[in-house]
Amino acid sequence: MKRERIDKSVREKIEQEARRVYGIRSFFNDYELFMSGEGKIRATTRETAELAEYLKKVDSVGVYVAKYRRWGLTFSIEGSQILDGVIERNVIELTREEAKRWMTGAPVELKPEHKIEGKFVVAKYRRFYLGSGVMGRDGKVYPLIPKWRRIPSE
Amino acid sequence: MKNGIQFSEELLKLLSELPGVDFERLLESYNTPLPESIRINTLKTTPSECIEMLEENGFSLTKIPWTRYGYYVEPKDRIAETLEHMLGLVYMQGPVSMLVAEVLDVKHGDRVLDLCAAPGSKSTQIGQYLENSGALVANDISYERIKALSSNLQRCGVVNVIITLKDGRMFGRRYPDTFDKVLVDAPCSSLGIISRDWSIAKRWRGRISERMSRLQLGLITSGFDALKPGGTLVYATCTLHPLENEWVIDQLLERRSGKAKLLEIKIEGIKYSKPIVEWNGDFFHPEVSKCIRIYPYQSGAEGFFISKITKTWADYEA
Ligand SMILES: C[S@@+](CC[C@H](N)C(=O)[O-])C[C@H]1O[C@@H](n2cnc3c(N)ncnc32)[C@H](O)[C@@H]1O
Repeated sequence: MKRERIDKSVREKIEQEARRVYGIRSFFNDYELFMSGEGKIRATTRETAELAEYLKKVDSVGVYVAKYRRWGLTFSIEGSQILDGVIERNVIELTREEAKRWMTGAPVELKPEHKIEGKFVVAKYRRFYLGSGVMGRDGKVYPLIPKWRRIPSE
Repeated sequence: MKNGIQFSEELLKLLSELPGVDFERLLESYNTPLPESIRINTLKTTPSECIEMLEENGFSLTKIPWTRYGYYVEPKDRIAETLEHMLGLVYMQGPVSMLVAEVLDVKHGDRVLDLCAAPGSKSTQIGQYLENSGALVANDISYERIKALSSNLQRCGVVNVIITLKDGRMFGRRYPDTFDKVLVDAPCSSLGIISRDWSIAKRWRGRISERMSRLQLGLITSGFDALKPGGTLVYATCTLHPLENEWVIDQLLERRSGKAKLLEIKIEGIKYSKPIVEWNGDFFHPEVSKCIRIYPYQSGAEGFFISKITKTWADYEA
C-alpha cells in the first residue's frame, strides 16, 4: 500500500477545510498522518510510525480516518470517533433505527432540528460517531459506509 | 462414524492413544456446538455501556470467568449484524482464544509482534490492552487473510498497528531482539476445533501434523529471535497432536539452549491439563511440563495448547 507522510502545507490545507466545514479546531493533533492513495488519510501514533520506518516494507499503518479530495473532506467511522468532542458543525443525531439504516448504506431523512450548511455531515448515535455522509439533492443524507462495513439490509 | 462425525482411522487411533485425554468425553465434545462469545472492545466502549445496549436489544450476556472482557451471548447467530458489532464495540471471538492473549500479559508501552495474526482476533485484543500505547506489528503470510485482518483492526479502532505481509520465518533474522512480546498463534491441524468444522476429522492424516510441526518450529524460532531479552513469547495452537505442541517447544529449547526458558502459566476459572511429557518413547525436555493443554470438554469450547517462554540475558551478560 502506498504510504507518504503528509507534509506541513497539505496538512494545513486539510485542517482549514476541517475547520470550515465541521468547525474542527484540533485535527488529529496527537497523530502522524499518511496519505495512502485515492486521497485516503491514515492516522497512527508517533511511536508506531517510527517502528514502521525501521521495519521498512510494511503493508499498512494505523487506521483509515479521512478522505481528502478536491470536492471535500469526509471522515471514516473511526476518523469521526477519534475526533469525538471536536466536531462542532454539521452533526446529525440519529435514533437506533436510523443508525441501523445508515449502516446499511441507505439514506436517512434530514429532520427540522438538523442544522446543516453545505454538502457534508457527520452522523452520531448515542455517543458514537458513524462517519460522514453527503447531502443529496432530494434532501436526504447518503452515508459513505464501505461495502464490507455495511449491515445487510433485510 | 461417531455421532455423525466421520473420523479418519488414523485420527481415532491418535486420539485414543493421547495420554491424559478422556477419549469418550472428547468425542462427545466434538459433537457439541461451540457457544457464541464476544469480547467487549474497551477502545470504543465500556462493559457496562455495551451490555446495556445489547440487553436493550434482546441479548443476554454471561461473563466468561477466565478473560477480562469476554461474554457468552444469547441468542446465537444474531450479533454479527448488530450496530454494536459493525461499529466495533464488540468482537466475536472464541472463549479460549481470548485466554491466549491474556496469557501474553501485554503491558502499556510494549512493542508486540503477532506473527500469524489473520484474521485478527488476538491482534485486536492485544490492541485493546495496549490502549494505543507502544506498537503492534500484525503479520500474516496470506494476502487473502490480511484483508480480514485489516478490516478487523480498522473496525476495532487499533491506531498503533502496523500490518505486514511476510513469511513469519524471516522476522528473527531481519529484526532480532526487537519486541517485548511475541505471539505465535501458529497454523495447525485444528484438532481442538472439530466441533466448528467436522471436515477436519475426516481429512486429518499423521503427515499433516508432521508437516505442520516443521513450519511451527520455523515460526517459533523466528519469533523467539525477534524477542528482546527479558521479553515474553506465547506459542499456542488449537490442536492436540504432541508433534505440533510439546515437540515444538522441546526443539526450541534445544535450538536456543540456555536462552529459552519456560514460564509458569497462571490462569483461573478454567480447568486444564498437564502437557504430554513422552511421545513414541521419547521424553521431552523437563521444562515442557510448564505448558498447558485445554481440552474442549474442559472449556466447553475450543481446545488449545498454550506455552509461555522468556528469553534470558544469557548471551548479553559479560
Ligand atoms: C491459527 S491462524 C491465526 C489466527 C489469529 N492469530 C487470530 O487470532 O485471529 C494461523 C495463521 O497463520 C498464517 N500463516 C501460515 N503460515 C505462515 C507463515 N509462514 N508466516 C506467517 N503466517 C503464516 C495463516 O495464514 C493463518 O492466518
